[in-house]
Amino acid sequence: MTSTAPIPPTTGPASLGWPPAALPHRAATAPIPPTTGPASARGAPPGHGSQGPEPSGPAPSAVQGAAGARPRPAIADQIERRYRRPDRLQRGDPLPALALACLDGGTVRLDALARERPLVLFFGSVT
Amino acid sequence: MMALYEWCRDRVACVVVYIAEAHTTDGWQMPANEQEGFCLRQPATFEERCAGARLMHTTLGLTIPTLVDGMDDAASEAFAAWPERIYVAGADGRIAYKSAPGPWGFRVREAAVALQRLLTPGRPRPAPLVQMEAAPDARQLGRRPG
Repeated sequence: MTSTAPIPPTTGPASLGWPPAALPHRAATAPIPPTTGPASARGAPPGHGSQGPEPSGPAPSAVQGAAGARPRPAIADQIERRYRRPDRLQRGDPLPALALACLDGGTVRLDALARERPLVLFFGSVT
Repeated sequence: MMALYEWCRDRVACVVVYIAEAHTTDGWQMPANEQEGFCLRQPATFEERCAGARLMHTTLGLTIPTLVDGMDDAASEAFAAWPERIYVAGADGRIAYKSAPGPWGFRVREAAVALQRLLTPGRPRPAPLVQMEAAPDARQLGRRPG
């Protein structure tokens, strides 16, 4: 349950082929597109990241969103099965003793970070 | 997110954990990402994942220390964090708050309230909430106001 691989030295997009060199870097101050409204209105399928209870089983395939929204693609089910995990940690549980690589180098243990002061963890990605 | 960090960084440890991408060209691409030009494929190696973390760091203008989940997705698995999520733990190392899964559950404001309770039990401090609503970067990772 640890991820202790050392962070490789900075490598440019060209050497990795990822992210693509043509990818536009969005400035932190760039205008943010409107994100209000139901998920289905933005093309997201019902149930994806909803505020309600998490789905207990695979989401139905090709669920049609709100009128005018794109239908949920079949691959969405595969992606959710691949990455979405059961919600095991509860309030009051100790932090998992995970060691994660720092982008600046080295590794840190999450439980050690919260040893002397509170800890806020933001999980996410670019997309 | 950045507003919360700036508000509490002297008293609280904050980290961003970069996990598997949510909407990739080789997976479940979203129209909004296409429109914004964010057409990425899922990182296949740890090096690519680090490149993705750097891209996130740059794109969102983050100054919060960033950690990278391993290719075993251990952090994402343990915290049920995909596609995005917020946790707050107390100085006792125990979870005090967990958001609903993102993107709709990624609510910085809720996390801030939980953090206020930890820092000043019984005496909530309203200071950062208005600033967080106004701060554009608070909406970027979750694509939604906290």
